[in-house]
Amino acid sequence: MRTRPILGTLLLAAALSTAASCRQPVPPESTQEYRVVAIATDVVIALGTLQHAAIELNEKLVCDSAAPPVCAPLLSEANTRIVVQNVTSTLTAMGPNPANIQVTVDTTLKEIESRLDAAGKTKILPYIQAVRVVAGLLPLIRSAS
Amino acid sequence: MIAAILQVVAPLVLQIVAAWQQRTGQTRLPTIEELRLDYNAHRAEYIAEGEAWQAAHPRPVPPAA
Repeated sequence: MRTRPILGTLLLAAALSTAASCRQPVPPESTQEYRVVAIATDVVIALGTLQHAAIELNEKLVCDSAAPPVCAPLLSEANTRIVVQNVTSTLTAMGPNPANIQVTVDTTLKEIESRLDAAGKTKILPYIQAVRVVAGLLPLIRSAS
Repeated sequence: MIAAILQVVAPLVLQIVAAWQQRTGQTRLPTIEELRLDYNAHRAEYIAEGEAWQAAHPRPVPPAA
């Protein structure tokens, strides 16, 4: 019989805790600045992943079945250099406070895409597309606010 | 008796509330300062990786004509 008041008290405490968490002031994540930094962080990670993938592909050798076997990296050094130079300079240009990075990133991706040879494009295009998808969220934030 | 019930029920209630808060996205998000630190940490990490690769793979000098 005495369990009912106890359960009631616990439920009331849970309800109050829930209500308290609902009455918080406007959360900082709803500001445009917060969202831009959050997406910019994802853009940096996507660019870094593109660069890291290029470096890893350059380190992996594939050999043919000839005797002696002829080996070549999955991504040539020239293609890797195109990716690394462009990504590094873009990350530097983005600076410590991300703002208006959309154009910079778009230009970089076009530059990489235009300079890679056919074999390089086949391997790197999926990573470029991934960066485009993430960077494509930036204009949506601006238009939504 | 009451203490025993509380010991059993209280964690359950807290778990239910925590699960509800998580489901509705009311967990703690990073502050803007933490987010900026994260952004710059990733940026520095990838710039360093790119510079290290370029240092280890200098552009080949074209053969003299």
